[in-house]
Amino acid sequence: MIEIIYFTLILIASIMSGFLGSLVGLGGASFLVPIYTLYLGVPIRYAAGASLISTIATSSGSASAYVRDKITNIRIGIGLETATTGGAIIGTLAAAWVYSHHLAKLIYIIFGIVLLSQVYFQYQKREYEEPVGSKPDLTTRIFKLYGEYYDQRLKKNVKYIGVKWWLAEIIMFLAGLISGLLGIGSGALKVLGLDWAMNLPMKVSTTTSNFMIGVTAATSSSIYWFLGYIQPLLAGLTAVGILLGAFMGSKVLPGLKSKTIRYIFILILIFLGIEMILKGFGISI
Amino acid sequence: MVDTQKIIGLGLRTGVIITAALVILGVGLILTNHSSPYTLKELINVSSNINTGTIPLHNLLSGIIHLNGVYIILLGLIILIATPIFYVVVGVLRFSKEEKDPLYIVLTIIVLFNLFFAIFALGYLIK
Repeated sequence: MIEIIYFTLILIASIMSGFLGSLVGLGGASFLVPIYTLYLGVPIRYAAGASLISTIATSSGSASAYVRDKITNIRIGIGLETATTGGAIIGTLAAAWVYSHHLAKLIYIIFGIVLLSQVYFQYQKREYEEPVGSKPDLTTRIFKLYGEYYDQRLKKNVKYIGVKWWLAEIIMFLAGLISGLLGIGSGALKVLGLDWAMNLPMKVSTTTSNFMIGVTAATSSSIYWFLGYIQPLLAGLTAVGILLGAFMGSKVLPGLKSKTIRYIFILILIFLGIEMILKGFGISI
Repeated sequence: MVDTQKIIGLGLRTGVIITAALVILGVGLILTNHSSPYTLKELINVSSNINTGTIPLHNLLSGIIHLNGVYIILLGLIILIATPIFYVVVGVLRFSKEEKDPLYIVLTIIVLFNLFFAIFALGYLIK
């Protein structure tokens, strides 16, 4: 009997996280870790481990289509991964230190803050746009930050250039750090680096960020593996559940025009963020 | 010229599909008690210490051969972690063979170094 409850709860929670995550354009981890830790009693290190593994699955699963359609800029992505992987190593070591000193409550608080900050990005999100031309700088030439893709909505080839590679590197290092510390993809920060710092078109930013998440998460998860933060059954089930949920979300998304529904999901995000912070301080509602 | 974008796209998808298949197979095996020495009851305990740190990895091969559900799932997870590494390796080949771009060969090798450092060295260093 208890097995049935376990499988049902884990699958429902992970499918729901993947579904909600793909609707608001975040990885499933933003919903998964709070649901696992707050409501299912999963220790946060196991929740983070399962979440990291699922992050690789959703990143690889959805990246394959965009890479094939040549929207993803692999050159820019791999170049910036020098910073995300470095940040991931430091972030994972920080997580190991925090857990070994029984300071897991810190992870809850930081997780809550990161969730709440993602709400801000939700308001900033632009759906489509013509990239505003920016003047190439020194890094544009050195790092060959340019590309071209076919925009289905605009029905034409869009040429673009990127600037301020150094600023993107700093943001990517932070993104890797957060990813390793909390076991999430931190796609919102990566998009910030590509879209805001480098001034790439939104579509290129989101798909390239998604592509990069896999490498960052692979770096962290191998360390999580050795530290024993991954329960095979939990991580495996979660990955499959989140993949399924994200796939369902991608089917529903094109027909989802109502802004109200998006706002409801954002409210859930705010609620989970506050709950995580409260739990970190030892207050439970 | 080989289309590296296509290879990467295909590789990513194949990795994810194989992982999902192995996890489902592993779950099936665990449910039919093919997971010794671990029992189903232990495996579904979210607070148990059965994790990647305590399951001996040197048993992986024999575990897979004997269709042990736990090791089949672990194999799936290893393949999943390996998929991003695969496309960084393809990236090195692309920048060195097709584009002959020394800066990006160096950048890609740094990424690979970080990845392999995390996988093969760091775990042992901090344990």
